Amino acid sequence: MNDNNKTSKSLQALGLTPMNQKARRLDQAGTMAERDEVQAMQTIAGCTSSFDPGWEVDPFGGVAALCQPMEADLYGCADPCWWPAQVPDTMNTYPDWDKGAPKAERDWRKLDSVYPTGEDS
Amino acid sequence: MTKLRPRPGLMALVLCALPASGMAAEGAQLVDRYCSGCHQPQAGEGSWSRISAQRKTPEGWDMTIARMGIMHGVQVPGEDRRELVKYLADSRGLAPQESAPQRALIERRLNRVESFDHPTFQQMCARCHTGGRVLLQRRTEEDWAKLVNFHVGQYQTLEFQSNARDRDWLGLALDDIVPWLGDNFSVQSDAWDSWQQATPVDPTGRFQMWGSWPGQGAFVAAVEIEAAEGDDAYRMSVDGHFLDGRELQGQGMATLFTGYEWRAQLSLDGQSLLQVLDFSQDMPSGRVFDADDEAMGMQVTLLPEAQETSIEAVLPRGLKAGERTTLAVIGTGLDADALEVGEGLEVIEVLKQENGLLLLEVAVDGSATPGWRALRQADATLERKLAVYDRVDRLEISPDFAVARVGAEQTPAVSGVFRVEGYLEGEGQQPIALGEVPVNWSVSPWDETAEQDGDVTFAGVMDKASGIFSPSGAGPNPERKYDTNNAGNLRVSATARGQSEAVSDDAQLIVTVQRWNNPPLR
Repeated sequence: MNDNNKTSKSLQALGLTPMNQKARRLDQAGTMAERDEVQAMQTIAGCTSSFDPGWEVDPFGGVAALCQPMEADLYGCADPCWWPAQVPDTMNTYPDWDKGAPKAERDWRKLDSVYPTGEDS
Repeated sequence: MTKLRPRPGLMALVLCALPASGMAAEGAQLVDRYCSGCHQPQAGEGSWSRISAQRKTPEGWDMTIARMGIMHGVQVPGEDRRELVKYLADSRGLAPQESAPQRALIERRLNRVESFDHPTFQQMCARCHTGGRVLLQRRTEEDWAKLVNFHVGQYQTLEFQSNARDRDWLGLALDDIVPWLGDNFSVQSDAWDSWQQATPVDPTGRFQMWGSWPGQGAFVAAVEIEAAEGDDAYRMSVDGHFLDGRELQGQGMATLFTGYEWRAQLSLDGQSLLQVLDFSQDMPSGRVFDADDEAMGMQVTLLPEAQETSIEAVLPRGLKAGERTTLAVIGTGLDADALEVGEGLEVIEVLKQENGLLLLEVAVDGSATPGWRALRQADATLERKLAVYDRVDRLEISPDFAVARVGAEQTPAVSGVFRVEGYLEGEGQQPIALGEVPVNWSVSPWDETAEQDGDVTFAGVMDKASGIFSPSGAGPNPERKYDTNNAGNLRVSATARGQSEAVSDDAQLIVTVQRWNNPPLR
């Protein structure tokens, strides 16, 4: 396990420049304990707490460090089955979910919910 | 692939009445017809591989059948699916004690943080879906292990995600989580054995139902439930009004699953709503909610009509000194002439008197002492439910942390629905709960980042009077930095109205993106 009191090296100290909001905010988390604390934070029932980033909430309990607009990378989430409880996974379960909507940023309105009620079948 | 509106499938199950005779036999025949191609019949009547190693809620069984369609191509027509769920939930359901800890999930109350009696269950399982979705199932230990293995096969990247790649996820799931589930959530239980022997619940009769409808206020209604054609099918009529006098009429159809799980589709005040009740209780209770916007809902309680006198509830719970208020007293065998209302209260007019309801116009003396008021009629009393107040000392918003979602046609918005409870507090005294008190609602940025990003401007609109937050539309917003979505991190504030000293409370509201996978149990 991590030494939680250890101060983590910032990305910049490693010669790296944070490129997006999540990276900048992770860079600002001073210690491993702070990082672990935000990473392990429980979220509201049914929201993912796999903060890679999260689907609903970012590792800091807000929304600024989410990948947004999410449509820009939606199929990059659906294809590798990253949040299958929220986004239909096209890897295995719903391979045709994005059919007829090749570009999510433009076609997101065509994407439908996937729970079949059986009433329309 | 089937692309459908996010209607909760199970609720549609209640609408079509089922034939009353031979249900168990027909249910078993349906399992044979649709399921036994893969699920081998086992020794004993009505027993199949996997199926007989599990017990679930009606929603759980419906999700299983839906999944068999999605993943294995099983086509079950709507009527047979309804009958299958009924049979499976009746013969392999949960006892009331087993579903009790997870009623919030069954009632679609998602704005709460779960906690578990296991140190890593949240990280291992409840990081993608609710833990309740798991804990509303009972399986043999062998079957729990199969569920874990199914997850690894179906969702093949789960071991690469955070809270998995830092550990031997599969090893821990099989060696730690599965035995815990097998021990604590076993298909064999005394509670289920007892429930199967219990006298069946008869939900028919007359009731008083009450609740507080977001944005509309408290209501009381006479409810009549009668048997309809079909197996455990019922018809419900609702005849009532809000405390401000507006009528509240409705009707619905319901099915009782597992002997107590009431699922109804209601038309109430012209709106199509769903109802989930636990009929194993003396006073059945549960929730009425919008099928598309599940946050928009209310808890309701039903009191069966009876001859003996009892006083069970009042609406509202707090009466302000110096004001005239309509007070609803709910109970059985009520008589306005015999009711004592306590110091400083005067009944000006009896607006309505029924066996289960008194509707009274009450004047509260301007100098009435703040504190509890007991209601009495003969030997029946109601204590610590009604209070007089001259000020509100503390407010408490619920939920204190909520998630709303931006909306689109295919994925309707999920509102932020907040309530507030007022309290009287005195030195050395227990707080006195006043119920909902008048407040003004507002939103502001939760933090500096939210302020810089203009979240208040873009995320949606808070209704000042009702505490209902309506999220903005989904999709990239070209007016925002990086075309980001109309997400936001907001501080919700309630401030008591008409007070010289400011009293307020805050809650956090995350407005976030839509989700496309919306089964009845998340």
